[in-house]
Amino acid sequence: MEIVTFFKEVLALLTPMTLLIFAGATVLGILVGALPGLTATLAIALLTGVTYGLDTQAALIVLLGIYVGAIYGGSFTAIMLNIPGTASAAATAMDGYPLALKGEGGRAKGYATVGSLMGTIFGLIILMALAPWISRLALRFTAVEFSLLALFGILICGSITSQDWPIKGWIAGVLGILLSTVGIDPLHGYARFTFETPMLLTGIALVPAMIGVFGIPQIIRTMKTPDAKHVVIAESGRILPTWKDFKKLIPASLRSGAVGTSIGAIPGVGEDIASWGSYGVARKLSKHPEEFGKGSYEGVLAAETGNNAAIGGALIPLLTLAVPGSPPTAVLLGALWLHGIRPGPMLAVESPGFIYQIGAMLLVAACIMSAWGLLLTRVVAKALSIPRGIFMPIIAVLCVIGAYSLNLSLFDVWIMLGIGLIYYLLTEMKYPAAPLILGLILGPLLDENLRRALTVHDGSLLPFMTRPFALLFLLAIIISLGSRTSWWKRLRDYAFRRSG
Amino acid sequence: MWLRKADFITGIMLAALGLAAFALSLKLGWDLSVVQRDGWYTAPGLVPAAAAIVLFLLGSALSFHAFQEGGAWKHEDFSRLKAAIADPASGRSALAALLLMVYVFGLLGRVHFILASFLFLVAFMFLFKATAWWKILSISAIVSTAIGIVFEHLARIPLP
Repeated sequence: MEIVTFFKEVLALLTPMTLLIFAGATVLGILVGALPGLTATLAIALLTGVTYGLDTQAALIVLLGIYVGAIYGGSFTAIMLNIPGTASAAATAMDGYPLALKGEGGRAKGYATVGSLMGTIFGLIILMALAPWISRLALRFTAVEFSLLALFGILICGSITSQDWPIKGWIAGVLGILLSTVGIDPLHGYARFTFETPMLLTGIALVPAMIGVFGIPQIIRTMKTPDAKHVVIAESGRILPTWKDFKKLIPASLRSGAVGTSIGAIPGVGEDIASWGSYGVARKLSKHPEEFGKGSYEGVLAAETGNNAAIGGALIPLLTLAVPGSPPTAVLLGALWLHGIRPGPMLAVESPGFIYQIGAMLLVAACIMSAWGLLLTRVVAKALSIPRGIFMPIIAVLCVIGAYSLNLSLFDVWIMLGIGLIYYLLTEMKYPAAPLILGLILGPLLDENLRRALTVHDGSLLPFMTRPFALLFLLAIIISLGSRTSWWKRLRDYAFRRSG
Repeated sequence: MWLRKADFITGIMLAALGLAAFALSLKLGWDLSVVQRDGWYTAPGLVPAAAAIVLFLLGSALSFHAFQEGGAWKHEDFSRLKAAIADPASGRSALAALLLMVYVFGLLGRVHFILASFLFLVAFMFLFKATAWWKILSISAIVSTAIGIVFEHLARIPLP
């Protein structure tokens, strides 16, 4: 029955106008992904404001098309230049560039394209299979579970995305929670941290904050170093893998899809880590691990399948629990809110076909992305020759428009730049951006539900430990915090020494 | 080593921010009649206060760990810091940040968006020596006008 709904949704999308929008969005996504310094998150954040005036379906097609295209687009520069266009394509460069140096860049790109297509399809299948089930389960959640879920999301994101000490990720998350409390308190209508500034009464707007956190540091960081002349390794030879070659790689691709989707479903983690996770598992289980890093098609396929599979994975918690699985889905959540769609457990009840509609959009976007991918090498190579001194100020102008356009407020532009400049300094000290945004998004969920839960249970904390799902989340929080501490590592070493 | 020295200072600043936020959150509606009736745990300041305490603790822990790993500042570090600031890469990032600030805080809202964007683009491309001057002028004029027209007339977004 669900399959019929899904295919009906796919057929409904096959009109000339929607296909045209898909084509435009995916090609824009590929270019964004390919250009170093531009990311899927930034592109979605910029276009959220621009697509506000469109009807919901068209806006979602644009945003999902850009998302799918940008995650794949990073592989172009990873293979041709050894510079991943997006962080999620860094693992692709490990084998893609050595293959390009051997004159097999075209074929590496073919594997990347097939991997991205398979990864997206794998992710959307898991999304459609699991989302209704998780939604039904989440309907049993009360304020207790939602408050713990929000806290878990912020902390796990902080733990995993931090490139330095995990404490920096947690600090970013807590800063996000604090920022989310600015404005009118939703329970009592009390103004918090507004300093008698009327413009702060509505709180820190999500989209300007996201553009600030992801856009401004990127512009400044990109301009830090002068343009370098890159050697673009043009494609040569056959592009698509033969069926015989491909058959051999199907198990590896499915495995990478599973790893990518699972990592994508962890709140706030996203495609970068999914890509490395898939690559690492593929190398560990490969019959030829020695080829990894020297030009392995399996490596390219694993990385690209993993990062695109993470898209479906990241949409699972987003659509069922309103908890974004990756930075781009955090922006997507803001876009959905703007279009009056409230992700969460009630979504499957109120709009049962919505998840299948999203699945259908991902499928069409992935197919069009693959077609573009095989045609666009020359265009991308041309785009890469644009000096960063030209395209970065243009991105800055678009950031300003993106921040301004939703509320038509210059104050939002100031907030965007203020947060962006502060976050540039923090990212220089290796503070991750995703936990701050997740804190900003999940902060209100935590705030409202924690106080509701305490009100319902007369201030008792006992239900946080006695309700089964709450206990599960509480244990997950303790483990996610504890597993990054030194005493946990000492305990583990001790346990392994004893057993060994 | 620089990272740990920066962490040491940042940790202290974050701990101070946590303390300040905690002090402010103590004034956030704890005395509302509805809070007096339903219990202190419904107060608007509850989550901000809790988050502020956690921020204070995390900031202190960060400083402490950074100190343990050589984050304390010594006299000669200040002269090395001066040299680091004088680095061309720092200059380029400071210039980009300054141009953004002039554009957002100085130009937008004071002059028309298209003119403000044109001036910003010209200044940015010129100072970063992006390309030849005539190309800079043409690209800036085309881009700022095109963005203005697309957003104002097609997307119907009234520009600042």
